[in-house]
Amino acid sequence: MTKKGSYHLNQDDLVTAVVDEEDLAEEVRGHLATCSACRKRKEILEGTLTSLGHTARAYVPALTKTVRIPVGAGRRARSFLFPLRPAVATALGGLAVAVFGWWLLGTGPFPGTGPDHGTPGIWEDALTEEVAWPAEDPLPAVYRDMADILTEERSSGFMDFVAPLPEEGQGISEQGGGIRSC
Amino acid sequence: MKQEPQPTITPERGREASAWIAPAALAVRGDDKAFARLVEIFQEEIHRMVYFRTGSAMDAEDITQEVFLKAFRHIGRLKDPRHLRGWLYRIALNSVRDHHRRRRVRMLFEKSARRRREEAPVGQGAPAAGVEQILLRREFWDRIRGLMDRLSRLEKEVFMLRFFDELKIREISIVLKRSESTVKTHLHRAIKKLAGEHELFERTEGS
Ligand SMILES: [Zn+2]
Repeated sequence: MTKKGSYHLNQDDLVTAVVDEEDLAEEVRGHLATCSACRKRKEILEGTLTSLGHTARAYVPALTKTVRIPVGAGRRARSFLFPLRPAVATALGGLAVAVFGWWLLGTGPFPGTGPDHGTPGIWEDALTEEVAWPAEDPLPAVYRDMADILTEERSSGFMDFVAPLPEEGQGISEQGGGIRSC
Repeated sequence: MKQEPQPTITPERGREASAWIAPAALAVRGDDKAFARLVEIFQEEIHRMVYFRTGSAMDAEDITQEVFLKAFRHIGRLKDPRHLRGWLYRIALNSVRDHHRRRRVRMLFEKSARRRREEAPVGQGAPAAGVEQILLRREFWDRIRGLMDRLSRLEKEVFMLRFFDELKIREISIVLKRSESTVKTHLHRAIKKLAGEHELFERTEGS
């Protein structure tokens, strides 16, 4: 639509309306609000996409075993620095490392350490991520890289698996240690 | 008079944050019962999400177990309980990626991976389905595969999280660690690509 009230929504506008109607230019939004033809087109596109999702969900087999957390599954303790903002926590941590370094060696701070670099294993997993998640890849790095290369060689990455492939390997699922032994 | 914009996606079941924010806050503080409640709320949708990306009922169940075990171990580090859903999806997405990495590596060492039909789960977890149902399902997934092949990796992921997994834009931005505007841009591109080459626009143009 280029002129106020004159034209129906073009394809771009239509898609924008489906993604987030608030992102439409005000005049376009105004048109959409009053033009039943455009609203109908939006609803059809939206409905088609939504029904795609509905069908996909309908074709998922039911979960046959409910998730169980084994009694022995330990929680990772929250770091005492956790409630602090990452920058503050990292700075404090860096200071602690520096002080410890001076104390231990009687010299200046370790090269390459400090608030900006941090100490892997201490800072990375708990303090620097807004949304921390466990990176527990059981593969050695070399295999991970190999797997990535193989994945990249395919036309469209790991999301190829969005749809079940007939050639998929069998029995490759990871058996999480003790997950079922409730 | 301006019409109220209709929600793009209608959430199914009890997906409103009000159903899980309170247990999420308790679980973060170490309440195991609250975590069990979260499992009840989210296990089916996480399982479904994983199934979309593995196509295997058995693998999806194993990975779902793995996702919640990881979540249980690490939930104490979740800063904002309101991010729980995105956080779970993020763990799930990483677990799926790890699964495919392992699968690739295993295939390196297994000269002939046994072929499997998508319907293999029938009788092993999937509800009994007739031949017609199986064909319908296969036809559907073939169609989806054809559509998804037109998208970049990020476009696919955003599209699936939005329409298959029914996440909100804000939640997708948490899962993928991208800004909301980046998510919208990729979603826009994905829909346009799909609609441009598909009958979606034809249908909308014809009305
Ligand atoms: Zn119009």
